[in-house]
Amino acid sequence: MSNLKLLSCDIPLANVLDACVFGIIIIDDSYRIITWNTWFEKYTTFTKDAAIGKKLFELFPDLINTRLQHAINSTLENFSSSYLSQALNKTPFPLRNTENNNENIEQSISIKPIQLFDNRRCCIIQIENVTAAVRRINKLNILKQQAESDRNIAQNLAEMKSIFLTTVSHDLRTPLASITSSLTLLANRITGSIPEESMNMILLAQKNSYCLLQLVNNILDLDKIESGMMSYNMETLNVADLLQQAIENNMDLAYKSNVSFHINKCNKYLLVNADQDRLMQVMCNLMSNAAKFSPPQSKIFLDAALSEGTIRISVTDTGSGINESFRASIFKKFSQENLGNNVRPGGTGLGLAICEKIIHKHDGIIDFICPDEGGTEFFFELKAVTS
Amino acid sequence: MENFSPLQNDLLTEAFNLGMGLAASALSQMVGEEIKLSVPKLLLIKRQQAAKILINKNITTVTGVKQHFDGPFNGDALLLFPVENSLALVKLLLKNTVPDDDLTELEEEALCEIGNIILNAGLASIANMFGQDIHSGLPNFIQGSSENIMHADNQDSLVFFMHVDFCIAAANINGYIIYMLDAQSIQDLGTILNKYLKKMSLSK
Repeated sequence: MSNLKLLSCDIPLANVLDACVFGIIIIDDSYRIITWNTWFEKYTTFTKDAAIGKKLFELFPDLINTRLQHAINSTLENFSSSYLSQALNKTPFPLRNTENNNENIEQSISIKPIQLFDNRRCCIIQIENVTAAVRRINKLNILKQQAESDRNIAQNLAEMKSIFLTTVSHDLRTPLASITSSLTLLANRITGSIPEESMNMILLAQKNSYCLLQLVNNILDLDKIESGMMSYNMETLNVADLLQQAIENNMDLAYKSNVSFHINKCNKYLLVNADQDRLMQVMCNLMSNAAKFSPPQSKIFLDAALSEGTIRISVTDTGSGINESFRASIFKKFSQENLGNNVRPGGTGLGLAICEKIIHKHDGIIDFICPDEGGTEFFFELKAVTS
Repeated sequence: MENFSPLQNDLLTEAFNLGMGLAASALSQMVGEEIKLSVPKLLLIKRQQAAKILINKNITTVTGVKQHFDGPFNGDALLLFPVENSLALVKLLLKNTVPDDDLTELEEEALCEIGNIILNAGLASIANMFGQDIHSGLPNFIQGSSENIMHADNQDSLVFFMHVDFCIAAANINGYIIYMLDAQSIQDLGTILNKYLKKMSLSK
């Protein structure tokens, strides 16, 4: 026993052990406690003096035939170090935190063999209170599970919404197309003469059914793009030809909106690799928006310019520009600017969302500029093809 | 370098399997689930070869436990798993309370304990069979490439390489036990085995 009392630097070993922030027990090969530190007084009712000299399993009879005893035996018999993790052994020692509701403390235990000067085999048991670490990790796991659950719910809701929209739109499209074409026939007086009052109502019905059909088509298009089912037929396109075609395709729009489309600057040799139909869809959306927000008789300009391997195609109007508060959400689905008195422009609110997805699929970018002097320039950039 | 004879090889394999039996029993008791461990074959090969075996099985990153041992021979004992296997093993032993796809600190410690039980059992079995004292240190969690962990650049060094099968709750999980000894230790072990074999043949 006296060999334990002093270290070579004359510091009593007991003082060193009592200063440790973890529990230390040294037992001999008959499980008799040779020493233990005052750390245990925080977690048991035994004082140091009461414990020393007693057998470990007399103080803690519940430890008999447990993993801890087997680990101690293994260390004493085989002189191997043993380790008990908190995850596999919740509270190997019955230790309670008397300062905190008498809660059992979570423990991590190391058992190492040591030999006394008389060659007696002993082992030193070190116990660390890992309650705080366990609580922290458990909290983190709960938060992670919650985040995962929320993510799954959000995903399910998004999927359900998408399925609902697609199903409903599918079921609406055919009858709507039929209604629209019938009304168009009536409006074109193909079916015979119609009184003017009735004609106004037919034209109104035709316009609204057309809008509904556009909405349904846009929803279906967007769903197709987002689910990756939209196929892209990529080919080399001449940009000047594209802009010219876009103007021709939108002549009716220009007439009805009382605006005109013009190609401002476009080198006739600019080429991009893109799906013609999808790019035309983007052009039509941008031109339709420009027409919607331009005053009567205004000119809308289409430009294309090459800079550092990138072609920028833009549609510029002379309207009132885009409200600051709306700019951040302009490419979001069903996003429409409030024009005041809760008036919203016509349209589906999906056009720009579709444009963004199409351009991104072409590895391009799409954005807009609202200069201080007014008007809006919507543009998209694609990599140029060098012929 | 010493190569062991088939008889010496068989003796070691038997000793390890006895040890695995004890380890399985200890683990079974801990988790309340029947666990079977077996070491079908033991190879004495160079570190580079051992690393190559793992790489050939597409096991480039391993997770596991390492502990040092000394006595009549010295070295490091390793229990290694492909990363996904270590997670699967811990999940089974903790009865699927592991929420994540990565091991947290607590699960790493659980793996350390499992490794400690298994590696100690192997060494204890050898020690008991041959009447030796082998001391092992505390386990450490390790993760990394097979080559780095086995110091495959140490070309002259041999390792005992064992494929270990865990069978828990109808699931089979494969791991590897490796005892890395230096040349002198291999020789010393060989001497111990020869003495034992001689003793056994004299006692017949």
